[in-house]
Parts: sequence; C-alpha cells; structure tokens
Amino acid sequence: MDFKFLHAADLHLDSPLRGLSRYEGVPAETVRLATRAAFDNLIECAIDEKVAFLVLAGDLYDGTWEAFATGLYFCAAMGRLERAGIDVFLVYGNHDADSHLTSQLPLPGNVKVFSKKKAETFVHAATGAALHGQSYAARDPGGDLVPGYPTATANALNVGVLHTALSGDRGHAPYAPCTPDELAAKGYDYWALGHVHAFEMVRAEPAIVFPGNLQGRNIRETGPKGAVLVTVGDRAVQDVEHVALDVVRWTLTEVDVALAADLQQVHDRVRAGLIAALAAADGRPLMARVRLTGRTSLHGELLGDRRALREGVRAIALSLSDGIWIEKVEVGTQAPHAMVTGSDDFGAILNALADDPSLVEELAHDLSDFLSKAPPELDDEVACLVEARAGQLGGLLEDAALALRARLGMDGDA
Amino acid sequence: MRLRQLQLIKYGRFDACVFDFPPGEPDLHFLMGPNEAGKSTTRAALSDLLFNFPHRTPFDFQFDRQLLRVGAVIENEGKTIEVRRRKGHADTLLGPDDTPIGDGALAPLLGGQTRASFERMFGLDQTGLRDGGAAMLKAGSDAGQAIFAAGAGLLNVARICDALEEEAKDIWTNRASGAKRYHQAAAAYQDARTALRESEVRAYKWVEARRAATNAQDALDAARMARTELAQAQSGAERKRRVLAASARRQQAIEAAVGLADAPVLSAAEEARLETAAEARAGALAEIARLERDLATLESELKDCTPDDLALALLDEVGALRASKTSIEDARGARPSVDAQLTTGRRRLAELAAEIGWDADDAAALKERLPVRAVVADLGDLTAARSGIEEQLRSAHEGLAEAKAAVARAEAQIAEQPPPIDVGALQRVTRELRSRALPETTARTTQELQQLDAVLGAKLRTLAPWSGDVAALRALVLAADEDIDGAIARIEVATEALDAESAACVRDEEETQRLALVRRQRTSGRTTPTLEALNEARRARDDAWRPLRDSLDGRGPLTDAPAAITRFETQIVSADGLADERFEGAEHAGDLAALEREIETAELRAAQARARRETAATELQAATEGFAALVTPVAPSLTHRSYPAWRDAVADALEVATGRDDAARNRAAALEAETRAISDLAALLESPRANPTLEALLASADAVVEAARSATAQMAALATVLDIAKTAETRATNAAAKAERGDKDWRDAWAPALAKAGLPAGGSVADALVRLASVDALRTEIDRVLALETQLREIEAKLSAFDARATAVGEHLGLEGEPTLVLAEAQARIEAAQRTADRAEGLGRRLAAAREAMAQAITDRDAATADLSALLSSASEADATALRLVLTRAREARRLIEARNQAEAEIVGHGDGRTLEALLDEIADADPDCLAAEVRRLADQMDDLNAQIETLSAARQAADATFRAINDGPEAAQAATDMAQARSDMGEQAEAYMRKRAEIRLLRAGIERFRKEKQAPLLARASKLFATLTLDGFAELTVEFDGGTPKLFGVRADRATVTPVEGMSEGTADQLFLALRIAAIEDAVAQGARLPFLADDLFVNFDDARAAAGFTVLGELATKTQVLFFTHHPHLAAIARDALGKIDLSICTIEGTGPATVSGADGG
Repeated sequence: MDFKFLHAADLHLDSPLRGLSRYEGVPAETVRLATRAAFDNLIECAIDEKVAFLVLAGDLYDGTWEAFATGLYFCAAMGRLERAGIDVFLVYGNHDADSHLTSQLPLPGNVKVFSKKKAETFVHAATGAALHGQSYAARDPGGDLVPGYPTATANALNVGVLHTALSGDRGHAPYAPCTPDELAAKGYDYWALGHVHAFEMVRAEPAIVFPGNLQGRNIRETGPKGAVLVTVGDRAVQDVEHVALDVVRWTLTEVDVALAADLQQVHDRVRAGLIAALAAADGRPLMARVRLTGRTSLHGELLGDRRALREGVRAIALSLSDGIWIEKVEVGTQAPHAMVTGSDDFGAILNALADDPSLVEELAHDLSDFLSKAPPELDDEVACLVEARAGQLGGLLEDAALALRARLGMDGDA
Repeated sequence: MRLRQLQLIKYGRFDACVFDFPPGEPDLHFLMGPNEAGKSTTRAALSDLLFNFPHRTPFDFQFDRQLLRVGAVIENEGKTIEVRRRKGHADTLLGPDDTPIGDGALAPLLGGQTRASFERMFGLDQTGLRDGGAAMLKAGSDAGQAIFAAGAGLLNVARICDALEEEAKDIWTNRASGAKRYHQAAAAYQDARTALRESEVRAYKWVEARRAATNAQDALDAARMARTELAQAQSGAERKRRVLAASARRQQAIEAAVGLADAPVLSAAEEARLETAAEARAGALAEIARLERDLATLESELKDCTPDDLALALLDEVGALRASKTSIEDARGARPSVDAQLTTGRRRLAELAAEIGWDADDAAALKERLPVRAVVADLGDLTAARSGIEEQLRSAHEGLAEAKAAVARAEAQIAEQPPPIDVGALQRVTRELRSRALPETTARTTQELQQLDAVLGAKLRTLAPWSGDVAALRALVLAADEDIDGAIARIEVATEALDAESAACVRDEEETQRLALVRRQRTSGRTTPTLEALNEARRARDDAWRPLRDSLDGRGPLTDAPAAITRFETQIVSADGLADERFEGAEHAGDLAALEREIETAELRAAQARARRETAATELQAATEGFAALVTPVAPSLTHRSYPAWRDAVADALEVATGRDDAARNRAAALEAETRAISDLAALLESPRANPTLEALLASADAVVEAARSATAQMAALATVLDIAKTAETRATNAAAKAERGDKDWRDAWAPALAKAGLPAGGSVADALVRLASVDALRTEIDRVLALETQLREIEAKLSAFDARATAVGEHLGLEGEPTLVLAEAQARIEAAQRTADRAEGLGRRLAAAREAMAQAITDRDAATADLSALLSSASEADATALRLVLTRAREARRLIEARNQAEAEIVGHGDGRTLEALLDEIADADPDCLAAEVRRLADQMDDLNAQIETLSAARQAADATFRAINDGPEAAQAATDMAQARSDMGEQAEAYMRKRAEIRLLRAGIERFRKEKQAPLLARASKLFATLTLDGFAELTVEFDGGTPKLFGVRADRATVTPVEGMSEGTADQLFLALRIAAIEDAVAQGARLPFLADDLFVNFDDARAAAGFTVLGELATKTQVLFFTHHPHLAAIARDALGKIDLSICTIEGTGPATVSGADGG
C-alpha cells in the first residue's frame, strides 16, 4: 500500500535558545517556547499529512533537563497522535540515556520504544512496514550498533532507526560509529538517523537521512529546521522531502563593509543584509548574528565603540520588523594594510605595548578580581573570557589598540 | 619633501589656480586671502593630493567629481616630480599629462604619514592652538598630559581615560551594585535560576504524587461501597416503618365502611351540584322578599319630589353674570382713580405747553403741534456741537499766541550766540601727533635701550676670562677665523691621531705579550719520541707476532699461547702509542714555528706603533703651541674647545652693542620728535604754560576743539528750535481759521432749525435746550393723558351693560330692586331648584336597579328549582331535607373508600417497587418499636460512615490536586530561557568590561611610555621656543616631581621664579602649547617625516611683538621643513618681514570674490 511516514530527531524539547541577550522589542515570548511550538508543528504536520507513523530517532530532551512537565507535554502530544490513529516508533539517544524523564513517562499505547538491550523489530500492522532499532542504554552505547540490527524482512518496507553521527566529522560526539556502506549493506529501504542537527541526505539509494533538529537553538544551528516526510509506494521509498517546522530561524548575516566609506554606509549594508535574511526566513522571527567583514579603514572605529555599533544594528533590526532578534554583532573586519606608521608615535607605542608581556601581566592583574567572580558557565558565552582565564590577553590588547586609535581620532581615511 | 607649486586645477570653486612656492631660506610662504576666499579649501586640496580624495568630498559642487583635479610640483632631495590627483578608487595618482603613474609614487615622500596623522601633526589652526592651551590649563601642571597632548597632537586624552574608567565602572565593580549592568544581568540570572528551581518538578515526585492520588481514590471508593450497602439496609427498615403506618390506616377504613354498605353511591360531582342548587334556591327566595320592600319605599319618595323649572331656565344667564361680578366690582372701584389721574395730566399738559411758549390746548391738539423726532434730533446735534466749536475757537486762539511767543524766544536766543571759531587746523595737528604715538615711541625706545644695556652687560660678563667695556671689545683684534679654525682642526687631527696611535700601540703590545704567553704554555713539559725508539717498538711488535703467525700457518706449535698473545697485544699498544706521540709531536712543532713568526710580526707592529705615537705627540704639541700663539694676545687661558663659543659670544656681544647703539639713536630721534611736536602745538594753542608736556598740550587742544564743536552744535540746535517754532506758528494760524469757519457754519444752521421745530426764534442755546426738554416731556405726557381718557370710557360702558342684564333676570323671576341684590336672590332660587332636581334623578336610578335585581332573583330561583327537581326524581327522595341526609351518608361512604385507596397507594409508593401483597406480607410480623430502634442504629452508622467519606474525599482531592499540579506547563522552559538570556547579558557585559579594562591599561601605559621616551628632547627644544615666544619672559621649561607625578613649570627670566602651567595666563599657555607642538613637529621631521607644516592664522590673538616672536619660531621651523602660513590679516605679513628680516617674503594671494579662475603668487 502507499503511505507516508514522518521522520524527526533531536527534539530537545524545552531546551532554551542560547546566546540571546534580551532588549526592548524582541519576540521574547515566541523564543521562550520555541522548541515546544516546533514540536507542535511536527504533531500537526503528522496529522495533516495523515502519515501512517512517526519515527523519532533519539534525543527527545536535553540530558540534564529535569522538569517532568516536559515529559508530560511529550506524552500529551503522543496522545493526540494516538487519537489520530498514528503510531510512533522511537529510539532513545545519548541525551535520553542520561535523562530521568524517559524511565518514568507513561507513554500511550501507540508509542513503541525500541529496546535498550538489543536491536528489535516492530511491524506496523496497517502498512506491514518493519522498523528495526535499538535505544541507547547509556550516553555512549560503546561502539557500532549496526551489526546487531536484524536482517531485512522480506516483502516489507524496512526502516532502520539509529542514533549516530556516522563516522565522519559532523561536529557531534562520535557515538555508535558506522559507515553509510555498512548501513546500505543491511538491505533496508530507509535509514532514519538522528544526532546530527543539520538536515543531510547522506545517501539516496538506500535513503540514509539525518532530518536535523526541529528547532535551531543557537547560532551554530542556522537555516530551516524540521523533519523529513517520506512517501512510500510499492513497498519502496518514492520521495524524501524536508519539511521546515521551526518557529524561529537562526541566521548568520555576513556583511562586507570593505567599500563602506562611513558608519552610515555600514548601516545601509547591514540593513540590506537583514532584509535579505528576513526574506529567506519564510515569515518566521529571525535570530540573527551580524558579522561585518572586509578590509576597511573603519575597522578601528567599529572596534572602538562596539556597544554603539550593536545598538545601531539593533535599531535597524527594530525598524525593519518586530520579528528580528540581533544575537550578536561581530566585528570581523580587518584594518587596511600598512595602517600603522613609523612617525605616528603614539599609535606605534600602542601597537608595541599590545605585544608587551609586562602589560599582559598588568592587565591580568587588573582582571583577576573580575575573573575570579565570573561564573564558569559564562565561558560558553564569551570566548575572550576563556582566553583571559588562560592568561592569553594579547587579542584583547590588540583590539584595544585599534579601538583606542579610533577613539582618539587617529584613524582617518587611509 | 617640499611643494614647489600647488595646482588647484579643478577643485571646489577653483579652476586652474596655481600657487608658486619658490625655494628660500627660511622656506616660509604666506597664503593670504579674505574670509571665504578658499584657505580651508586649499588645505583640504593638499591633503587630497597627498592622501587621495575621501569617499565623499564637499568640493564637487562646481565640477563633476570625475573632473576634480589637484596637482603639485614636488621637490625632494634634489629631484622634482609633478603629480596630479583625481577622485576615484584606483589609479588616482596621475602624471602631468593625466596618465596614471601608480598610487604608490608619493608614498616614499610621506614618511609613513596617513591623512589623519598628517592633518593632526602637520596642521594647526587658531582653534587647535586655543584648545591646546585650554587643555594644558585644564590638565594643570601634569607634564605627562601636557607633553603628550602637544607631542602626539591628541587633546583630551585624560578625559578619554576618565571616561573609559567610568564606562568600566558602569558595567562592573568589585562591590555588587544594582546600578551596574553586569550585576543587573547577574541578578536576573539568579532570579531565573530560582524560578527554574521552583517550577521544576522532577520525575520521582511525579511518581510519588501519582501513587498517593491512586491510594486516596481507592480508600474513598471502599468507603463509598460500604455506605451504599448501609444505605440499602437503612432503606429496608424505613420502608417497613412507612408501610406499617399506611397499613394501619387502610385497615381502619375497611372496618368503618361496613356500617354504610346501603348508602347511595354518588359521584363527587353529583353531590356538589346538588348542594349548590339547594343553596342557590334558598338565596333567591330571600332576595326576592328584600327587593319587594325596597321598591315600595322608593316609589313613595319619588312621588313627593318636584323641581322649580322657571328658576332652572335662568341657570346659565345668572351663572354668567356671577362670573363677571369680580371684574365689574374692579371697574367700579377704579373709576375714581382714573378720573383723578386724568385731571392731573391735563394740568401738566398746560404747564409744559406754557414752558415751550405754546397756548394751552387739549391733548389731541397739542399732539398735532409736536415737531417730528428727526427735527428735534437735528436741533439737539446743533446744541451739542456748540460747546465743541467754542472750545476749538478758544484753543486755536491760545495756540496761535503761544507759537508766536516761541518764535520770538528762539530768535532772541540765536541773536545772543557768539560767532563760530575754525579749529580745523588744530584738529589735523592733534590727529597727526596722536597717530605718531611720540611719547609711546620715546618710552619704548627708552625701554629697549635699557634692556639692551642689560643684555650687553650680561654678554660682556660671559666673555670671561676676557674683561673690558664695549670700546675695548670693539678694539679687540682677534685672529682670523680661518687661522683659528685651522689651528683647532690641526689640534683635533693631531689629538685624534695620537689617540689612535696610542690605542694601536697598546693593542700591539698586548698582542705581543699574549703570543709570548701562548708560546711558553706550549713549550713547557712536552717531549717527542725519536724515530729510533719508534722503530724499536715496531720490531718488538713484529717479534711478538711471529710465533703467533707460525702457529696459525701450522709451521710450529705455540708453547704458551696466552702469554704470547698478551705479549703481542702489549707490543702493539706500545708501538701504536709511540707512533701517535711522534705524529702529534710533529704537528706541535709546526704550530710552534708558526707562533714564533706571529710573535715576531707583533713585535714589529708594536715598535712601529710606538714610533707613530711619538710623531703624533710631537704634532699635537706643535699644534697646541700654534693655537696658543693665536689666542694668547686676547685671552691666554682659552682652549681650542672653549674658543669657538667664546668667539661666538664676542660676536653676539658686538651685535648687541650695535643694536644698543641703534636703540640709543632711535631714542634720541624719538625725543627730538616729541620736543618739536610740543613746540609746534604750544605755538598753535598760544599756550602760556612753561615746559608743557605733549599729553597736556594735546588735552588742551582737545578742550579747544571740544568747545568749538559744542558751540557749533548749540547753534545748530537753536536753529532747529526756531524752525520748529515757525512751523508750529503756521499750524496754529491754520487751526484758528478753521475754528472760525466752523462757528459761522453753525450760526447759519441754528435759526432755521428753531423755526422748523416750532420754537420761538432768538434766545440762547441754553433756552433752546430747556424747550427741547419740555417738548420731550410734553410728548410723553400727551400719550399718558390720551390713554387715561380711553380707559375711563371703557369702564363706563362695562358697568352699564351689567346693570341692564341683572334687571332683565329680576323681571323674569318677578324680583325688583338694585341689580346686585336682584341677582343674589335669583341665584338662591336657582340653587334650591337644582337640589330638588338632583334628588329626583337619584331616586329614579335606584328604583330601576331594584326592579332589575328583582327580575334576576326570580330567574335564579326558577333555575335552582329546576335543578333540584331533576335530582330529586333520580334520588327517589321526597324533598330537599331528605335529600341532605342521603347526601351526607353517600359522602362518608365515598371518603372511606378513598382513604383505603390512598393507604394502599402509599404502601406501594414506599415499597421500592414491591407489590401490595408482598409488602403486606413483609410487615405481617413487624414490630413497630423494634423497627424504630433498627432505623436509629442504621442512621448512626450512616453518620459515622459519611464523616469518614468526607475525610477520605478531602484527602483524595488534596492528592489529586498535588498530582494535577504537576502538569505539562511551560514554566520551567520559560525560566530556562530567561536564564539563558540573562547569561548572555552577563557575557555581553563581561566582554565589554574586559575590553574597557584593556583599553584603560593600554592607554595609561601608552601615555607613560610616550612621556618617558619623548619628554626630554621635546622639553629641551620647547624650552628655547617658549623663551622666544614669550619674548624671554620665560627662560626655560622644567619638570619636577610632586609625589611621583611629573609637574611642568615655566622658569622666568630671572631663573629664580617658577610658574606652574595653571599659573600662566591663557595667552602664555597658548604659547607653551605652540612651543611643544613645534618641538614635536621638528622631532617628526627629524625622524623622516619632512612634510609641509600648515599654519592657519595662528597669531590673530597675539600682539605684534608676540606675533613677531611667533614668526621667528616658524622661521626656524622653516629651515627644517616647508611652512605654509594661511591668513586673512595682511598686517601679519609686515610683521613676518620684520621678524624674519626677509624683504622678499613669499606671498600668494587667494582671490576672495568671483570664480577662482585667476590666482597665483604675487611675491617671491
């Protein structure tokens, strides 16, 4: 029979979106419940598309997340699917293995959880599809799980469900390593993978697919996020379509300001970049990091007053839409060549001092109180904090030299 | 580099404009033009030429930006290049033919400067100078700040430093504060963390809550089940008790019905109908009897009641007359009053007519004579205008008299003034004398002479060991400079040669000694083996080998193999050792021979060096003696090192002496000029004072001129007064004529107006006014009298009509007398007739009603009788009384049946669905007392169980609430998001704080390093420049430390007084800043940045002397690099010429008006 099923993974339900400093005019309420709203979209999509079943390939919650309300919310959503006659097949991933929620949740009868002990097979009664999978018993399942997966069931659509990053470098911990060839050799029709947060069609024949996570949660998770809608006909996969289900969209907007003559032109380019990003967001609220690039004489001025720059970019965002949240403004520009000159005494002194080890020591002393009181969880937010704790203050001083030159009016048009 | 020519080819409003800067010493050029001529444009053009156009330029308003061109001819180290700059992104630097020559062609000439650093370091205008001076005052005496501000060209660095500190403190301080941005974010983070903790319910709590809720529900369900069972038992007992009571009533009904078995069976409806009919018939009969009595009484009363129809016929007429009675009485009462008013009015009419002058007549006739109101108004206007006309006449005549008197007074005052004096010549003389400023010149030349005397004295003192006066100095004969310089050079050459040879001598002797030491060390304790010893050892080795070889070849046995082997090995070692020693000995011998050769060479070099040293010493002695021969005649103790400075000091002193002579001549000339001026002015003033001063004479002259000016002004004022008086006289004459014309016009109008109003001619205006008032009063009075006459006539008519109608009524009723009395009597008769008629009508109505009631009662009686008749026949009873008895028995029998039925229904109703028979069986043996006790016991049990259920229910609800409280709400997720956002805030603030701290640390260190590296040379050079700029008011600058902070002070000319920067005047602070800036520019030039210095109107706030000093300083700078001086003050050029002693100062003029198509250097 012909049918559809939906494949999602890495829900990380109720996991907060990170890196966003709050300021007036941002869509804060939308952001607060973004992962729930994206999950709701998944449920509605399953019902609207009348899918036969839903496959969840691990990481329902953050491993450290303790609030049981999240699990109840998940159960309630499963209940909606049950009432709609949709079965759910899920494996637990590395985060779920750490989670206290999974062991206590009273899942409704339509939810089938693959065993942690060994790979097992569920047959979906209405379609005859055979789903094979194994949940993680611990954060690291201790090696390749694929050899333990059953052989393909004859005359049925075979779907493998596995939480893995495969064997390449995809920016995620290499749990349950395996190769696409190894998966293909199993003879399944579709491999529903999880763990990697970006959508990736690893192989088309057989289909080996990462759906990515449902909702981007930080600047490393940009672009559309959602699930994969799989169309099956004649017991074979006919179509694989990525469906965007996220409610807010992360974007990194790079703005080349090399040809900008002044700050106003920088603003003009930022505005144009944000307008383009908004157009690509399909009407969703946008979480944007703006990165200025290019070799420009404005480099020092941009570094000189980062706060003013940030506020300026935020004001531009507010003027464009009430659905943009500027996560950060990065000054990735470079100074023009040969900006520092021999006879520019004070500028030369500043540059020389920036490399002076004794000044690094003095600055370390200046910052020692602050560093001792700054909580360690800030280290994830501020790269220079980590460097400062390691005594690496050269970068700060180099930036300071440029900022001071700008503030002292020493950098004009070069 | 220097500019030979600057070309504003197309730039701003300039078109093909060229400025030439010819080489000169000093290389200083004026660019002069009025405000708005384009000086700033020219400065910007130079920056654009050297460093390219900025992205946006304000100078493309006339020419398209593609056409903009600025060019220059640049000289650098003997080479000349001509370049142009166009606006664009690339290939902007062009050759003279407008072809690109590569943007880097200028870079080697710019000394690494950027546009910003060039404009900051090599440009200074009046604003920058003032700001710099002000910044120095504000920064106090902090030398670091002062020198930094001037040297780096950066003002307000201290303020920036402080601002950074404040910005950092706004973010974080060691002490947590809600006002700091980091701490605010941290507080929000903690709040969110707390909220998360409070909203976060963990899995085990949910499991516990669910278990508790389930247990509570189970306990509650069990209790409810027990209650259900108990309720069933209770219901059974209650049923029995209820059924038992109804069963007793049922039995009673059955037993009572036994005695009424023969009673008829009537339905309830039939019984009710019979009883109603019997009661209706009895009632109808009683009513009929009462109505028959009433009818008889009413008919009798009606017969006795007859009304008075004659009187009733006059009812309306008498009513109308009575209604008008009040108005008739009012009219009758008002008639005397109206009569009296009419009499008084007529008398008043006669009086008013007499006042006007008319004969008395009746009111209507007088009304005909009254003039119309317009005529009266015209006459009123004339009388009102009269007083104004008379006032105008009086005022005009008085004004004319006063004007004539004023003319006479002015003419008399003019006649009294003295004749005017001509002081023109005196004014010209005083103006000329003042412009020459003779006393100031005398004072200045005297002061200059005194200063030069002091300087000369000091210069002479510096010539020690020589001493003498100016004459001796001038008489001093010095050896020719060439001879002296030659002698000095010879000494220095000889000294240098002696030093070099001495050093060589020492070096060579030391080398000789070193080589000798090496030789000693190598030759001590070493022996070399001889060849024979070596050969012997080799033979011994071969001897030891032979037995071994024979044994190996099989030629013979080896007797003692180990000993043979040992011996052979010993001999090998011995022979090899001797061979090695001999080889090393040969090598050592070679080295030793080479060393000997080196020692010989070194000894030769040392001997030659000693010889050259002797020669050099001799030459030095001769050179020293030659120099001494030259200088001993004038100053024996001067050395060749001190002589050049002494000679310069002599030249300085001679120059000062010459200057002093010039100053003395200037003073004499000034004194002579002043004396001559005094003499001329005294003669002109004919002053009798002896030895007057020029100031006193000028004051006297001023007084004379002022007196003459005052007299002239007085005469002019009087003439003006006379003109004004004559003008006033003319105006007064015209006013008098106008007033008289008005008077005549009035008189012409007056008599006709009186006639028209019917008033008598003649008489005064006052009389006319009185008559007019009487006319107005008469007009009012006539109207009032006419109204009274009309009112009296209406009263009379009304009274007559009333009396006639009253008399007619009396005649109709046969009454006579006064109409009012007749009317009262008629009224009484009518009222009596009305009462009788009303009573007859009431009796009639009651009689009709009684007759109608009688008919109804008869009908009711007949109907009841008919009903009863039908019922009696069916009941087979003879009469109504018997019928009542039958009805009573039938009613009782029916009640008993109903009571039994009701009891049975009640039994079945309480029987919980059971049948009557089953219920009666159930209670057959029931004891009511036992049943009551059972019911009470069950009720008690039920009460206990209900209380227990309430408790369990509350517990279940509580457990359920606890469990339900653990819902799927998003509070924890929201709190986690808030935490993440607050943490991001903290991160943002943390980064900002660390960056601020880095900037603060770097800026402070930078300032300190700048001060350390730059302070000494800048301060030394700035000291000299500052002395020049302050006209030697300050001798130098010094830095002293106050608690670790370096403080800047100026040292006064006496070298004893020091002044901190904050103690200097604003102008002196400006000069200090200028001195430091120029010292810094010289330093930059010395480092290779030899670019033109652009000074924009620097000295507009300087007096001439200080401006001259400023040009002296710029002149010095212009010997090191080119200086372009922009100004719109032409007099500064003259000052510069004097200060620099340069008659042909280079001056370029920038045109101030019109399109800038023509310009160029006009000097050079």
